[in-house]
Amino acid sequence: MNLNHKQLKKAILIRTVEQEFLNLFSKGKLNGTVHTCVGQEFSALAFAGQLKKSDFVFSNHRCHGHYISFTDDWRGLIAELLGKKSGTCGGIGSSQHLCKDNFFSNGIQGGIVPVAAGYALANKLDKNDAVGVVYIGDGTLGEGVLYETMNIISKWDIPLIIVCENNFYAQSTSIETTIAGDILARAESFGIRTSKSSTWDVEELFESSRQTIDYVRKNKKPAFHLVETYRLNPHSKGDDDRKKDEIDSFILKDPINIFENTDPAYFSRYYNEIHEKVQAYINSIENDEELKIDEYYFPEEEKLYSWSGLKFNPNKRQVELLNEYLTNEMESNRRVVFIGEDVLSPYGGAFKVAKGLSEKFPEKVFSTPISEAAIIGISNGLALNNYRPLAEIMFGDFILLGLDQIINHAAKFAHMYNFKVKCPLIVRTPMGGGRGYGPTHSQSLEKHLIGISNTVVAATNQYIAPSIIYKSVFKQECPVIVIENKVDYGKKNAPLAIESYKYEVTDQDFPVLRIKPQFSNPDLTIITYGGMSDLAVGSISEIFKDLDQIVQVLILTCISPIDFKVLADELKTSKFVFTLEEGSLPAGIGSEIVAGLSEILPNKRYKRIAALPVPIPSVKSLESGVLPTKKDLVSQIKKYIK
Amino acid sequence: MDVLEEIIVPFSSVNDNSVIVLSVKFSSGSYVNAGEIIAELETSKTTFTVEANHAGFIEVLCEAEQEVKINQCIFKIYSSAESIHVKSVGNVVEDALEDNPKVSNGNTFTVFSDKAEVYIIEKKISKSLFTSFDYVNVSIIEEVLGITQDINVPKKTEPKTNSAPISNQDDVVIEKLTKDKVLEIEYLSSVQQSNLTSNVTVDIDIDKTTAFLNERLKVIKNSVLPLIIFESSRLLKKHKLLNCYFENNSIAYYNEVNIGLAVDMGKGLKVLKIKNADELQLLEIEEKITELSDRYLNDTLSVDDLTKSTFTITDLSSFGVYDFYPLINKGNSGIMSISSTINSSCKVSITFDHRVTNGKYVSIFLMELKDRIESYKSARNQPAKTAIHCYKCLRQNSAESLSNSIHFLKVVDPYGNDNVLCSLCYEGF
Repeated sequence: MNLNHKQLKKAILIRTVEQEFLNLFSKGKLNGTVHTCVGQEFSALAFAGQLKKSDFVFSNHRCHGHYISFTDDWRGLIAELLGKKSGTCGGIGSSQHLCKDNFFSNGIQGGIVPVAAGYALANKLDKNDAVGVVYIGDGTLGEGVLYETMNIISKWDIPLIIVCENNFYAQSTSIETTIAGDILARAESFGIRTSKSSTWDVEELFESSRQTIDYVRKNKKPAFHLVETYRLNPHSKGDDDRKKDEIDSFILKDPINIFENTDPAYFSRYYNEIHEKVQAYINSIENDEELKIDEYYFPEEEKLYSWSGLKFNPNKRQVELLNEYLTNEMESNRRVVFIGEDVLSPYGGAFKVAKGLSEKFPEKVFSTPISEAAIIGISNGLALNNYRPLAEIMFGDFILLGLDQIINHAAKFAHMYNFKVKCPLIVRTPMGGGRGYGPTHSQSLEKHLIGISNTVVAATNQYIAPSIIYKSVFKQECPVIVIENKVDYGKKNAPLAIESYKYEVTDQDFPVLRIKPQFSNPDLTIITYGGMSDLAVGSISEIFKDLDQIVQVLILTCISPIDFKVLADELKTSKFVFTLEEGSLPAGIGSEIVAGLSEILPNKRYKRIAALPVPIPSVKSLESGVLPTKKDLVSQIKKYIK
Repeated sequence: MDVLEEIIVPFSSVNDNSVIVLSVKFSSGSYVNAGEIIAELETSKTTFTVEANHAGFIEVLCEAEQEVKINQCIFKIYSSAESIHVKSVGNVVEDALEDNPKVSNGNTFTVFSDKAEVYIIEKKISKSLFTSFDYVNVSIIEEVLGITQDINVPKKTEPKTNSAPISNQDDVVIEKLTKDKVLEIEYLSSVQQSNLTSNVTVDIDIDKTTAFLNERLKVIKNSVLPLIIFESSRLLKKHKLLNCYFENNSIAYYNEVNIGLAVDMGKGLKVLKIKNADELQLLEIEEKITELSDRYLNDTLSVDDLTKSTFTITDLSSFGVYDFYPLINKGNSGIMSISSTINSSCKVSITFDHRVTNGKYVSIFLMELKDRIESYKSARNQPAKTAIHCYKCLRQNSAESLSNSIHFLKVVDPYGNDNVLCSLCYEGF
């Protein structure tokens, strides 16, 4: 075998580190588990090891080899797994969640693929020469988002290499039971260039991987490279039901073992040197410090705020104002990318928010296939690579298809990579019923989006010009989800005039809107947001007349996190506090509001008003029976205050 | 002035129920030529202009940036400019203030909730107490009344207590006035604070009258009250200066005579109205008194029962009170008190508002009342000796004729026969 000794040494280094990990694990010095790549080292070296520093790598749970090949930072890796502050990610990410200089790994199968595609797309927009590799396994071939991404990278010509390391087993499951058809045919069917190698023919592997990399760099098109290999160790630690003679056969085939047998002198020399180095390092950092909680968790500081009168744009509809703002933003910020379904002109998106954008900014507006997970995943990649993606999910109901990308990727990157990166993702989506679209096109699902770490959920409403909200959205460095409302798009940004009532806002990034009488103190407050705002405001007169109560309405523009202090400050004279939302009652936004407020103001009477906990029917009479109406609101309030 | 043209918002597209006025080119009273563009309107899809078809003087009924409905009239063109006024478009103030609207916090709008309206009518509260509030409900009324001194208090969270102690608290126990009492003070202060009230008293011999009433009335016994109400109400129709009230150097005369009967049977002092008492017969008045008393005791009095009495009567005769000086209610110019019987006579006293009347006037009233009351004699004491009847109307000298003071004259009829004529026929209709 004519192996490049440099590569061999690197391979031995990787194997040594992995074996040390297993050692340390059995001594109880590692937290969590490790997924060693012993036996697969050359796959890492052939791709990650042959890239430029400006290229990038995305990897999965079995990423140590990829990491060392791309970054040479075996020390950081060891410190990371030992939980040291000096580790790659300060001990936060550990084995599966590594990040350093364009290397990213995450533990959700397939989730990294669209992110890698977005990262590559950013490179393409930057017109630099960079290419990227995303490593998947045979098991990843079961995940749908892989196929969404392959479709898009082929259609859009994105310079990404998908390297599929087929070690014939996904955890305990052999591919015989899980993989239908042919692996390469999958990529071929998307029109993607394919190649096939194995880690037992190392020369061929290095040669063809070089060709793949060059192809992608030159042509700015994707490629799929299948590498057959075998892991000599269990999936993680100790869980191995594979047949012993099968494993043994691969141990014999393993190139490093062969080298050990054919060139024992060189092997020992290399091995000992490396082994000593690694051991010494491990010993030296044994007592190093770990990250403290206040270096990881940074609670929000209380900020001062003040109130002022709210101005309106009564001649324009909300959707026009929004379109205007986004147009201006894309003009002044070349890093904004608009990505969604059906967004090209002349259609301009299902609700026309994107009207005219693709004409003005042809290179920055992407109309995708119906692939919500990929839309958000690609946006994540763009966000990681210095772009400001504006992802539109056509109907709020569909955001669930991309929820993994929001919760397990966007929301976590900053923290789990020890604040080395930011993911300023923006997802916009309209929620709300009232048009008879039925159970899967009318929902208000924001309750499933609140409380996600490091993620702001904003909500527009008809009384506040969208520019106020979006100015703040574009300032955020964390992921932001903006909940819009279908019916509100057509409404004018105008107040409902109620004699002697003022509309005021705070000067915060996501202001609270307060509607109350100028002189008399309110007896009850309705807290709401989004599409239910006009329902609350419209009930003020009726509640005063019929129930003898003076009403104040507080409208939130940020429902996660909720600013309880501002709300509590405004509730001093209200004996009753009602929350109103269009989503269903259990565990809704109202629950969060009431819980938080009752910690500050335990002596008020609280009640949540929301939709019934059933799917939203299409027929109008039933729909208005399920969703809150003004009549409901007044009668529920009436019952409660008796 | 003729209306030459009414310009309405045209129907332009299926999507729109309304359009927006972008601009209005003329102000009310201006002259427009036929064909001139007077406004620009915007639908969801496009903008269009509106022209005058006639020349004339325009009245503008909309304004820029206003949303107007399809078919809404937005301009009128008149043949002359007279009486075109600039209409203010927009909000209508719901409930104008009764009193001087100048308020310390600048508020100019006040509306009361339905329950608040009932409350203030029932308790006879002045709306002027609330001029600093824009929305008033019952809880605000109660808060405000928790303070007796301070009228213009715009924002309160809890009712202020009168915190300055007036006595050394070692030797007294201090108890706050009830809300009802506070209201009463406010109410009575209305007329009395002018310091221009005065009082006249007469004694009335009620011996025979009481006997007569005990026969006639069904339930109420040994009380001249129903008769006093009966006679006073008729007299008030004549003596109007006791059936009115003073306001702003003017006298407001009531069109009706509604006697307010002051009653306190354990549930607070209330004035119960006997409406149009001058049109009720004696038995009807007795019925009304018992009805109102029942309602008082059962807490089923309506707002109407408690409002708009034109003259008040307060009867403390059953308490053995010899004499007392009643206080005039808000909205009245007089109040009559009935004190108890001593030696078959009772004192009737009227306190009156000297700003509208005077002692002589009231004395005349009382003398007439005294005469009338004393003229009643029981039918039992003077039974009809013979049954006689008027030859014209056939009225008999029955108990009814006696009670109504109808008398009979011996006359010679046209046929030269001795006959009897009743006083009604004699006096004519």
